[in-house]
Formats: sequence, structure tokens, C-alpha cells
Amino acid sequence: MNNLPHLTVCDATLRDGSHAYSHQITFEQIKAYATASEQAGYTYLEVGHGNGLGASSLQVGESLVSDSEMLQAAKQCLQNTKLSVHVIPGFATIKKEIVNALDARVDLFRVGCHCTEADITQRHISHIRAAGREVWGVLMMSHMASAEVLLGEAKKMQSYGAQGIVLMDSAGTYLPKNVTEKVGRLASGLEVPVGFHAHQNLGLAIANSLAAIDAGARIIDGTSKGFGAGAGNAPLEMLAAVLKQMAYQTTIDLFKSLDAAEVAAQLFAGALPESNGITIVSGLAGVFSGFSKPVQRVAKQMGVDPRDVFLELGKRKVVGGQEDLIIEVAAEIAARKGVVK
Amino acid sequence: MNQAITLVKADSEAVLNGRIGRLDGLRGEHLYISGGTGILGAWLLELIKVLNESYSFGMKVTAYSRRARDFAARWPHLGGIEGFRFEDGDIRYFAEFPSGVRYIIHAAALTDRRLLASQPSSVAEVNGVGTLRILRAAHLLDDVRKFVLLSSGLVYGAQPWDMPHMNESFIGSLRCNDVNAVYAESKRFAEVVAQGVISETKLPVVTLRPFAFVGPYQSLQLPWAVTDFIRDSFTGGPIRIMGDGATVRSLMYASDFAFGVLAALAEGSSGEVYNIGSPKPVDLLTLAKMITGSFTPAPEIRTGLGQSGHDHTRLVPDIQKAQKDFGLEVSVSVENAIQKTITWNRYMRSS
Repeated sequence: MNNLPHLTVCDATLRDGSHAYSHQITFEQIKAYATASEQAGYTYLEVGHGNGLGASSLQVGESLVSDSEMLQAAKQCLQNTKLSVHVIPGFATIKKEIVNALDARVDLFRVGCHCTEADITQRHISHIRAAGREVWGVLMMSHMASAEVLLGEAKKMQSYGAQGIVLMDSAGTYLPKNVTEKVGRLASGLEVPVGFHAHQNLGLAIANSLAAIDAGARIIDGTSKGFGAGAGNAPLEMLAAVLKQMAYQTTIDLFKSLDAAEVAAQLFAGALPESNGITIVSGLAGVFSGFSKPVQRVAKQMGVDPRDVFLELGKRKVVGGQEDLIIEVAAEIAARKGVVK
Repeated sequence: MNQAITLVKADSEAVLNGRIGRLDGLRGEHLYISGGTGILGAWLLELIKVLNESYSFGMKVTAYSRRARDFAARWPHLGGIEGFRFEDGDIRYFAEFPSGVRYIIHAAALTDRRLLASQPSSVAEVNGVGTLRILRAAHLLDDVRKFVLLSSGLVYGAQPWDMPHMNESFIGSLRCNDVNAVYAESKRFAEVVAQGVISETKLPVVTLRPFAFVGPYQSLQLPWAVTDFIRDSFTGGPIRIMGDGATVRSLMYASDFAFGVLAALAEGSSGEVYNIGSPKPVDLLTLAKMITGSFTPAPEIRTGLGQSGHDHTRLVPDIQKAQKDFGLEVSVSVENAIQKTITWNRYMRSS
């Protein structure tokens, strides 16, 4: 034993990876990967549509498998690893999605919102706490607010009953110094543990995760093979290796973690994220990683450069849920450039 | 539900037993309670019910809150009593008392920590402006004998760790440029407004600074340590304590709280400020064990889940002044208080 803190490692492969797979993950893929995640010893496995419970829709993409079926498939494969879900109020309602997920014996609810809108999470967090389940708050697109604002919003979630707060670098735009400042501010100002969810757009997902831990984070997200939106997330197998090398305490079995990555590579072959000019520009522009596929699709249809679309979306400070702006922006760029399609 | 009502009635009778003399001044009076349907309001009604039925006090009560009529319908053993009236209203727009009111308890306030975070300006408005409105309306009455203002033990700011109990002369510090101070600052504002009204009009205002309470009628949905622990125990646990459980609070049972408020109404000195709560400290880990011990199997208690490095806090009142002036005392131990609260909630869950 050493004096380094024990870290909670969350596997978001079957949730963030949903973005990378256009939300078409199958029942069998869920079971196969959940089994591997359980063996790897991750504390939590997050499952569901990329935008969380109830998000399957024409606007942000329809899931192949329903929320209930996904949760049921994963739950039957998990024993020590706990089942978690992502919840965005608006997509997920208390009466339907939350109640169903409680019935499905979900262990942890991570209730997220845009980083300046914690107020909208009050009812969801309070309801889940009242039901006796664990609930965390998640501040998404956290690069769009200062450390002080993030602390204020996180304190709101804490007051509602959140038992952990996760900062998401949803656009993959952070540098380590940004992580140090923001996670450090939350870690020193909150009573509940702080977490960090990285994206890989600028190739800094592992570095940023380590910066978060150094700054006081006790919860770290990742995905096997980085399977997630845009350029993907912090690859769990690499994170497992680095944390072991640094002698942090976790529940991870390194070799099983490496095996889980191979399982993910086989299951999701062809859809694993890779760094390219588009994901890099997306990160620089600070646009939600979940926009990656729809931007590329629309840009192709409109005959415009997806990098231009990302830069314009970044200027407009779009957030998740504003996917319909992609077409508007691409059309404007096409019109400016005289592209006729 | 009958068992729950019986439990509260027995506790109301017990707390009044042998202490009726302190309340004699309230015989035949019309009492107005703002915020009259929260935990304190409900217990005040329970005690007055016993005073009227067993001791012929002949008191009338008007309970005023945003959903007073819903409360009356929810609890018909109180809502159906002749002489108890329930008025819906918003304290921010309070204008006028019924004629004949001579005693007033102002307990209306936003106290939910979730609201403090989400709607801090509303908290300031309800707790501050609401107090100003009701004080001005009280001044218009012919013959106010006593106005009890419920403030808060949080007006002191942080209690020094090495100070076992805070008395009324302690002056702590609050950061008025910190939104998290809005509740305490709103209560400080309410207090200073009351002192201003006393100065201007000689209205006989007694200020009480309540600390922490527990008991029947308290919603387990409130995000406080004791309600969290009880609620999580009912759902099988675990109980999660962010720190090591050494943070110190004290808990007074609701019947003692309500008796203290009535006694302050009858015997408190105008212009004075009194702490009201239990002086017996209890740390959170002990409290959690006390609660889980009442469940089979006992839910797991997890500690050290939060960020490290946070100071332990302490909030325990010195109540000697209230003991001396109007006989405030702790007649129900914290252990019994917890047990009664759990039992009451079990009754309610099974009804």
C-alpha cells in the first residue's frame, strides 16, 4: 500500500462509443463487451445511447437497441462492476426513463447538463437520491465556463444530492494546464469526489487524465481503445497501464483490461476512432465530439470542408442538442462558396 | 396513519406534561403562524390541539403557507379542527392579519438547500422581504402581545472547532459576496429588520435561532445529514459520508422544538435573541450508526468518499439563556428522537 489515493475508473465504452457507432450497437455486442469490462475490473460500466437515456431520436440518432434492452443485456453480465447510465434532463424524463432504469437495477446515474445549467438537474438528482441510488452530476462542455463558474454549478449539483461531480472535456479541447486549474478548483471547493472525462482530439486524453488526478480527481473516465465520440476518449487499456506504472490503487486487472481492449477492437472494428484533420480542428474549435459524424455526413452532402463547418460551429458556441445547426451552418458555407449541390 | 398520529399525540402530551403553567398566557388567544405547515407548524398545531382538548386553552390558530389547504386535507385530524384555519398565500405579498390576532410566529422561509443553490435571489426575497412584510402588517394590529421570529443558527457563521457551544453573543463571520451565504445572510437581514421595527414601533419581537431538528412530519427528501441517513437506510443503504464522520451537529426532537417556540411566545423577552436546539453534540458517524442500528440488516456505512482536506465543522448551540427565560429543555434524547422518527416513518410507509 502507498499513500496514493484510490481511483474510481469508469468505463464509458458502451455509452460514448455509441456516438462512434451511430448508436447501432447490438444486444450481442453489449453482452460481449460487458463481460470483458467486468473481467477487467472497472468500477462502473456506462451503457446506453451516446446522449444518455431517452435520447434515441431522429435529431441525435436512433438507437438500434432500446434503453431497457441495453441495460438488461449489460446487467446480466455484471457482478462486481456496477452498471451506470448517462442522463440528460430533457432527453430523460423521471417518470419514464429514470423509473425504468431504477427498475433495471442501474447502480449509478450520472446526470449531465451543459456546464452552466446545473439547475435543470435538480429534480432528476433529487429523485434518484430519494430512490436510494447513487447519483453524480456531470458538467459537459466544461471548457465553455471558467473554473469559478464550474465550481458554482458543481456546488448546486452537490446541494441537490449529487455524490460525485464529473467534468467532461466534451470537445477534447483542454490542455493539461486547463485541467489542472479547473479540476483543482473543484477538488478544493467540493465535498464530493471529482472526476474527469477526457477526449482525444488533441492527443492529450491520457495526459489530461493524469493532470486531473494530480489536481485531485478521484474518478477517471475512459473507453476501451478510446471507443468514443470524435477522436475518442482516454483509452482505458493505456490508462490502466499508466496508473499501474504510477502505483495508483484501482480495481483494474491490467491484463484483463488489455483483453477488454482487444474485445472492443474486434466488436467495433472499422468504427474505432482515429485522429485526423477533422477531429483535430473539432478539438481546436471546441465543438462537442458527438458532432463528428453528423458534421462529416452533412459536409459531404453539401460539398463543403467539414473543418470549415467545425470552425463556424465553434464560433457559434454550439452545444449538444443543437445538431440541427449543422445543416444550417453547412448550407451557409456552401452558399458563400457558391457550391451547388 | 392512525399509529403515526397516535405517536405524535403521545409525544405532544409528554412534552406538555407538568409544563402547562409556562403557556398560561396563551389561553384564549388567536395565534397566527406563517409557514404553519412545515415540521414546526405541524407540531405547533399538535401541541395546541392537546392544549385545547386536555387543558381547555381555547386557542384559535390561523396557519398560513403556500399550500396550507393541502396540508389540512392531508392531515384531517388537524385540518378538521374547529378553531384551526388554513390560509394559502405567499409571504412575499403578505398584507393583513385577521382581526383579533395578538400572537404571531413567523416561520415562513425557504430553507431547502437545493433552492438555496438554484434560486438564491428568491431565498433572499422570501426570507428577507417576507419578514419585512409580515412585521409591517403586525404593526397594524391593535394589540400584538408577542411576535416570534424564527431566524437560524447559521447566522453566526462558522463555529470555531474548539468552541463546544455557541451562545447568543458569539459573532462569527460570513462572506456576503459568496452566494452560498444567501440563506444565513437572509436570516441576518430578517433579524436586523426586526430590530429596526422594534426600534420604530416597539413591536414585541422575540428572535429564535433554531439549530437542527428531527422528528415526524419532517420530509426525508430534504438533503440534510439526518434525513439522508434515514432515507438511505429505508432504501437499504449504503449510507455515504463524504468525510470521516467527525463533523459535529446536535439534534433536538420536534416536540421539544415546538414547546420551546410556544414557551418563547408566552415568556420570551421582547427584543431578545435565543438559541433553540439541543446542546448535546453528536458526530455524523455516531448518528449514522444510531440510525442504521434500527434497521435489519443494518445498512453499510461508507466514510471517506469525498475530497480530502476539508475541515470538520461543528454546529452546537448553548441554550442556557432560553432555559433560564422560558424553560427550554431537551426532554427527548437524540437516540429516542431518531427511534421515534424512524418508527413514525415506518407507520407512514405502511399506511
